[in-house]
Amino acid sequence: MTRFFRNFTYFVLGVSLSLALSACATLPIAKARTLEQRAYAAYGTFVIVEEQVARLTSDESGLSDNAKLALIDAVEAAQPTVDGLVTAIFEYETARFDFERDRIERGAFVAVIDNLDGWVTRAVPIVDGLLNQTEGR
Amino acid sequence: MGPAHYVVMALRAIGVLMINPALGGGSQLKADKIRTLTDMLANLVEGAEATYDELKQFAVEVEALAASNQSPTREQWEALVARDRAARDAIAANRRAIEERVARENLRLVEESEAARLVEESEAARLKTEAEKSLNPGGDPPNSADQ
Repeated sequence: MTRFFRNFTYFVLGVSLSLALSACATLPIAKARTLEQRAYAAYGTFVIVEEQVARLTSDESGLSDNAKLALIDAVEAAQPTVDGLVTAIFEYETARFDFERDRIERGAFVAVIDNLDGWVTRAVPIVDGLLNQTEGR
Repeated sequence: MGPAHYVVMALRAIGVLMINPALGGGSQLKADKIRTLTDMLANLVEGAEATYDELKQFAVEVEALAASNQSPTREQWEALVARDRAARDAIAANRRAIEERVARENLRLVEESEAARLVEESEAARLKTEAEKSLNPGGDPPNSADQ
């Protein structure tokens, strides 16, 4: 019976992994073209993963407490980068609004764009890693 | 209905078969364990499927933005921020609940261990007294001079 359970568990984990790989193939970030769209896709993907972690760590979930705490630690470790991304997004929105009305110089606007680009570049691999970690469970 | 739904249905069916002796399954003794395992695995698959569906839907939204060369609207950003906050609150509450449960369990283990130690000490004392009595069967009991 124990051997059956082990094989059965491997089978289910295999199915979960297949779903995860299918999800990677349709990652929203891959669909984005502009910097704003990439930022939006990265943030949205993070939020979806975060909601999944909230479900997986609730009382109704069958995961062990250790597994739940590991997931929470992983998502909390990503949060500062995501916070930086969100701040950069709203700074960019404000700067773009001002730039379109000639209220700020081009150089200042470019600096804000570079800052957002930096945060997107930092956030994307973190969100990807988090997604893989969550989906693998 | 995606492939995960069929897996979940199969898991639930296997769970029923395994706990029902009339259908060739095991004894009722293991029923809870088997049910817990199949439910847990089914939940995991369902969770992965739900996330996959959400990601697919969100990818379509991003693709539509890209196809029309549009930027996300303020409302779209704010909707994500609101969901982010709600998820963080839920995760923080889950962490508190888990940590409280773990602390309670640790306390219970410490109390059980302490109780076991006291029982052991009491048993050791009783055995020692009995051994002393058996070594000195005719001897005066302690404090006999006072009686």
